[in-house]
Amino acid sequence: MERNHDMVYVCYDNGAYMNTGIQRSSATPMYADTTTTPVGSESDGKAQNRKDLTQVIAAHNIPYVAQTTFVQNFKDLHTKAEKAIYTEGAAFLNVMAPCPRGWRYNTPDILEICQLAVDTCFWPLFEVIDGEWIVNYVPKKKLPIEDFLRPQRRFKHLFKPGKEELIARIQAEVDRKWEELLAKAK
Amino acid sequence: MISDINKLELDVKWQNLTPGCTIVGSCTAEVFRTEERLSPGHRMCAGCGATIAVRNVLRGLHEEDEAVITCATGCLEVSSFMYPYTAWKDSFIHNAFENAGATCSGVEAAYRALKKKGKVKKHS
Repeated sequence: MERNHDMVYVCYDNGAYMNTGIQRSSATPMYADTTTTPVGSESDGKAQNRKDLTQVIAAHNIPYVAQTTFVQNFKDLHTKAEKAIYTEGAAFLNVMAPCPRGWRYNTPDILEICQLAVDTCFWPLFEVIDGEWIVNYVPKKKLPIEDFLRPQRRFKHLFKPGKEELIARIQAEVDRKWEELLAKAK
Repeated sequence: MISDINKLELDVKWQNLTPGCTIVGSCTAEVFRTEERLSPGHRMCAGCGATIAVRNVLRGLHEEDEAVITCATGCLEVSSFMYPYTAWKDSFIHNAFENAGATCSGVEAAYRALKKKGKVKKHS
């Protein structure tokens, strides 16, 4: 990326090592239940926040960086893919790709999950073109993060009594990242 | 800069498409009619996000152009590229977990070199 080869790096982010059996990775969100961070009496799932890969790549100062997922009838994804492919130099796309096995949601609900990820600002849609940050979607009403977590059984333990603080911590991190992004796009 | 898609006035003519495609804007409708570059019949899970991402990213590539795809080991690779079979219409190189980016940069460098020597017959 840093050598600015004329290529597109597409990362589909499903948030764990799904192929080998759902082990936690640096892309796994906080408190997710995985086989290497199992939830039990001593553990609430993954203890750390997820690594923001899009920001890491943006710091490489390449011509085009974008983050997207499956919303708006794929318009956002298609526009960004075309831009990335036809950008001279290195381009990066981070596409959130839910995994029904790992996230344990009802398989046909994939598009609802993606919409909720965007509306809760868990997965904002943005691009960085030659260092300029552009937020592509600001939800009319920012939804609480519970709406995104609830349909996924990897977060089931967060909805037991006494775990409200864990959700509050996730919400605080989402809010912080969102404000940070808005500030960058000003 | 903040551009809010909610507020943008898009020139969208709503129309119904063939089964499988629900209602999409006219700009997208053209794109959805293009040929798939990932064939069905691969072994990914039903409803997997990875193949949805692949198919839609490759729709961004103009029909007359071709791609070289490098892919690290993972669900996508083991399920779509079982030697000697492939679900991909474009050239595909599999390499180990950490090498996909490096492999792709090598392909790009080779393409540039061959083009410089005039050895690329058809270039896109």
